[in-house]
Amino acid sequence: MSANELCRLSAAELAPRLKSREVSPVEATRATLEQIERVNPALNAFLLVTADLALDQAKQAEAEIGRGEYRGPLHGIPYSLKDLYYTRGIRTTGGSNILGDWVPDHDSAVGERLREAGAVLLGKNHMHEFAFGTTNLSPHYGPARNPWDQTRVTGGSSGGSAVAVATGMSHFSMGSDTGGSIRIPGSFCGVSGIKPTYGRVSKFGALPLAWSMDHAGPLARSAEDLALVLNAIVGPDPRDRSSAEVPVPDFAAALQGAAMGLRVGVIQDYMDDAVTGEIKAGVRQAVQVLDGLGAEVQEVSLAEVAGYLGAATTILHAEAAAYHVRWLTSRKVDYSPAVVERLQVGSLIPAIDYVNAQRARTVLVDRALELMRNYDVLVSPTEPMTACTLEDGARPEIHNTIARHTRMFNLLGFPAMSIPCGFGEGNLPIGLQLVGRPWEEGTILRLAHAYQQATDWHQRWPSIADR
Amino acid sequence: MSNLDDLGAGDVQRLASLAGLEFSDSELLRLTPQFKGLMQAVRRVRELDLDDGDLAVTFQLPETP
Repeated sequence: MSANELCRLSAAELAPRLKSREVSPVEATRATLEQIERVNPALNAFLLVTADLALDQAKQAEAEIGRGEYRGPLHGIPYSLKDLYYTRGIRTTGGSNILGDWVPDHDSAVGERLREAGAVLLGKNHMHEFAFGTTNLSPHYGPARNPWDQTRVTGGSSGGSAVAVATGMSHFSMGSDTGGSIRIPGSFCGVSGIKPTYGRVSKFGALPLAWSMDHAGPLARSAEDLALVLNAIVGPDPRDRSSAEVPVPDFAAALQGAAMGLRVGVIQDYMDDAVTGEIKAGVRQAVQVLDGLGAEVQEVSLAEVAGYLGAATTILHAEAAAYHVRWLTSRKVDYSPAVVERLQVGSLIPAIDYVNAQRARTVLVDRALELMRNYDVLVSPTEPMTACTLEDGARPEIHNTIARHTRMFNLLGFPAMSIPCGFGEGNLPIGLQLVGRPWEEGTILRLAHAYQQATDWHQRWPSIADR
Repeated sequence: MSNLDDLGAGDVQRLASLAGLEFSDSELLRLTPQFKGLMQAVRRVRELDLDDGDLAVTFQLPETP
């Protein structure tokens, strides 16, 4: 198998080859490192490549597997981390200038768990500065570029993660999602990504944006790969007070169920005139596939809860400002103008309004749970449009448009994911968002997997991956 | 604070001062319309019916070791 073919294997395809020693972790790691060398200069998906560490970890995995000490399906799989996950002894910038030279003294919980699973860390992925933006434009490190059209944005804030997965530079990457930051770049770059239920994955050792809306989750080539990664990283962690003591299912096993009989609600509010025709056509086609798989498809409206969305903006800005107030005076010039301005106005939100925004969430969650008694999964376009140009991405108002369909589910904390469901003009990917009830990631993964068994959108590659 | 529709640079300056921040004149010029935009989201929260006193903001203690 050639290096290029190795890079293109999903984690689920690579794992049995590593286990059987048909492929060695060192071979797989070298293949991805070579792909990074070829492709990353054009796309800027990595802020740091940890090649020596990766080869050391791969050699260790090779030796362990050789001794029959196979740890599971991530053993020997090369992966990357968004650069907001702390890495002990390795620079962690948060995409910022402020933390440009910061070296943490401990790892994130996610990093620990992936190391225990035997995964091989390739490096740290580019991200929007402090995760406070949806484009991955950066005056500090230059923009990450969309692999399907380098004049366009990747989406963000986990833009580098999505690019790495989309081009074979990484088999999966850990992102984070506060208003859509996993699903947005997943949609724009044509990969799968999941924001699990709030509290499902520990955020210990992850730079915060807004504590009560931040979620840690993976981006990967398929729903099947997402399930494998979730199996390794979920579960309670006393070091993260938002981490929940709930039963942990086997997400890979959950994929085996059929789509037959699942009640799917198509969110009509996100199929309105603000959504481009090609996106609506792509999503309608995807819904037809779900219907053909035996899902019971109906239309649903979120109008009853739409009024609560102001709480998302209020909480996001106030919590982000609370974290950043330490630098807002002393390091103001070290932020990009766009980010510092959002933090500055966030610092002026009256306390009563923040508190009431949090109180409103309780009502919102109750209403949304009531609504979801009639549906197992809600679906919508992840994005109202395909990836915009780098120039359009610089417009401040673009963030609201890009996060239009995603941020509600950060406010709710419900699990939500994006999978590729077609291509628009210019061969730009279209994403389908799937939303589930709390703690029911298995249901949306199951529907996504069934869809991906019936379609091949998730197996398309941008031509730059052949470089 | 003034009515949300009448928010001006003076309001933003006063709030910044209370928050321990200082904005230059040019920053005030840029930030005032942005703050007004942000307060539109806040306005939508204010329009919600949150009279129920049982709607609490909570916090969780860790499990007793």
